[in-house]
Amino acid sequence: MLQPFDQLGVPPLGFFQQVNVLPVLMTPQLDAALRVWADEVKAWGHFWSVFRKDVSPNVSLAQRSPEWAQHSRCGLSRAEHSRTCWQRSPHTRAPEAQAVREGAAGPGRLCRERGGAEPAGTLLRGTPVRDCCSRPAGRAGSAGRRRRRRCGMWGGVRARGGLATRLLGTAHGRARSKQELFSTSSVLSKDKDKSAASKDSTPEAAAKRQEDGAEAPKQQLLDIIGNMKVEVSYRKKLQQLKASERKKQAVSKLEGPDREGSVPQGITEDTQRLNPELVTAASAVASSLPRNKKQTESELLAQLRRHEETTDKQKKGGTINLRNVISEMTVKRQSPEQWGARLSGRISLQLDEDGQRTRPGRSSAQMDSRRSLKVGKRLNIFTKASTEPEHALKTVSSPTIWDLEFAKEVAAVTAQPPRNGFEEMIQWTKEGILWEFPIDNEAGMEDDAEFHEHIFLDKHLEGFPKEGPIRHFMELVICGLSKNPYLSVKQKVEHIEWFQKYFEEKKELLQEI
Amino acid sequence: MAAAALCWALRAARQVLPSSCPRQVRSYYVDWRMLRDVKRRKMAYEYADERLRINAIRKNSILPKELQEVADKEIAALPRDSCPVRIRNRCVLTSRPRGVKRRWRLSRIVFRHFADHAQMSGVQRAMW
Repeated sequence: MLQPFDQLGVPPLGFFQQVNVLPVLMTPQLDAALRVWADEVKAWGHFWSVFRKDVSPNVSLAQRSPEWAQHSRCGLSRAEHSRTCWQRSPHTRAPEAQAVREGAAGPGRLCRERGGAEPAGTLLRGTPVRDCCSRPAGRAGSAGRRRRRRCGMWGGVRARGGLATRLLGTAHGRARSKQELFSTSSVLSKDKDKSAASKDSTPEAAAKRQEDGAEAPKQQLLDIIGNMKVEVSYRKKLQQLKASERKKQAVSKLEGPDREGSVPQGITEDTQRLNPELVTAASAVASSLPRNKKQTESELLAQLRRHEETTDKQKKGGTINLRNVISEMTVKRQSPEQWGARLSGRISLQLDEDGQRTRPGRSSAQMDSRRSLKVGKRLNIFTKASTEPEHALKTVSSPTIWDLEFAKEVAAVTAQPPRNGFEEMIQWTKEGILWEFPIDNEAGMEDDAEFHEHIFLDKHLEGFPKEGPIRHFMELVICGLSKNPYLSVKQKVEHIEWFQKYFEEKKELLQEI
Repeated sequence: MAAAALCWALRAARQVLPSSCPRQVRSYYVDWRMLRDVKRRKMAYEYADERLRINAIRKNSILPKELQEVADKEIAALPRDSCPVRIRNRCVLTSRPRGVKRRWRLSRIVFRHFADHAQMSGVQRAMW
């Protein structure tokens, strides 16, 4: 727990209780300021004598005691220094420059934190030699504490995300967006709940199974079969619970492997569809069992009929039994590979440019209503690719006169005078009176030429004679043009061509010479 | 497609049609001298490149002198108002030819008037 006095290195008020005036006057800021100045200005020795009985006004601080002289350089009082000595460690004895900076920065910054003496901070900066050894440690400690607290917050988030990724078991490492992390975590939480519920049901079912398994050896065998199955749906568990409550465990366990066979067929199950299959399966299982085949078969079929009755009751709107309702609900259980495939698909879609693949994103949004990021109209703030459909639509005949008139009318009606300075500035920017901010240095300049086109202009000198004063003159011209940053390449080429034309006109004159 | 065409038409119309809010538009110059000065400026802008090139031939020690004499005659044949020397930096508001500060393009009297009414940004009465 940070005490207010810890950072400033101010001793508790008990140190100053010798004088009555001090508890009223002495504030932490003032004390820090005084502490700094006391060593600098020797005249303050007189001031210090008021506060400290061991200080006499006329004797300088350094002379009074070598110990104090040593401590004074640190800007700490003697008691403080002795107290904080233990904080000093060999590595904090950094090169003086660093210590000075840290020391200067430390108390100055701390003082400012408390809204305290600005001049103290500035003075500290000015002082060349300050060997504040404990200051760096103290400051580092407090900063470290703050940093650690901040890291704690983020660490939690990262830990949760990491847990999600680990649980998912995907190959895509840390490079995933937060949205994905949170989405996966939410998905995971959902699944975890289900798995937890299923896990809750399994021990119950297992317990009941065990109870009844003790009764018959046949059921022990069935238990073994039941435990061997790997993929069990939540719906199966609930149905097994129901069956065990009605004391028909054999039937439920026989139903289990049947359902297991039906699961891979389709995620969404409909018992009515599978009835004939169930019947055949029941008969097959009954035949596979050693004893009481007919009895088991009849029991199975009775169970099936009862189940259908309950479903019919629900459909007719009969007594709503939550268990029945939940049993009707299906669970989308996907293997981790499918999860990974889904996520990888999403990542690949998201990493593409924003404006180009909007449809797959939207389809994924439709699939999962929880994802609300892709829903809605795109603002197209950050993309330039959205101009493509506009260009595609511009292949229309130029607007007619009537269109122009209509446009003029609309503009005249809708053009309101600016209500405030901002709107005025917007209007000016549209008109071109005001530049666009942030200022683009190349605004209006559409020179797409490379630097070599500006500098290497010898290729334009082909129309001139290779020797003579004219060539000399033109080479000077080209030298000057290559250094000119204000002209575009076009203008430079025009310049050279003008000279070429001029000299061609004057050819007869030149030949006379 | 119609929307795009309409947008283009609207933009064009906005530039052509003045906005409904009244804005001070300077349609007359202060006096004829100012108008003549404006004409000289426009012409100087048109002939600036040519004058520069011909002068480059003239102010030259490499090319033969005959060529330079011809260039002299050519440049003298250009219209008189095309030379930039004839431009006078007049006051923008009063067309005063003298006492004009280049930064503000105003004569000293107008500048003083506006500065005293605090209508010159960053201008203050000096006192030291």
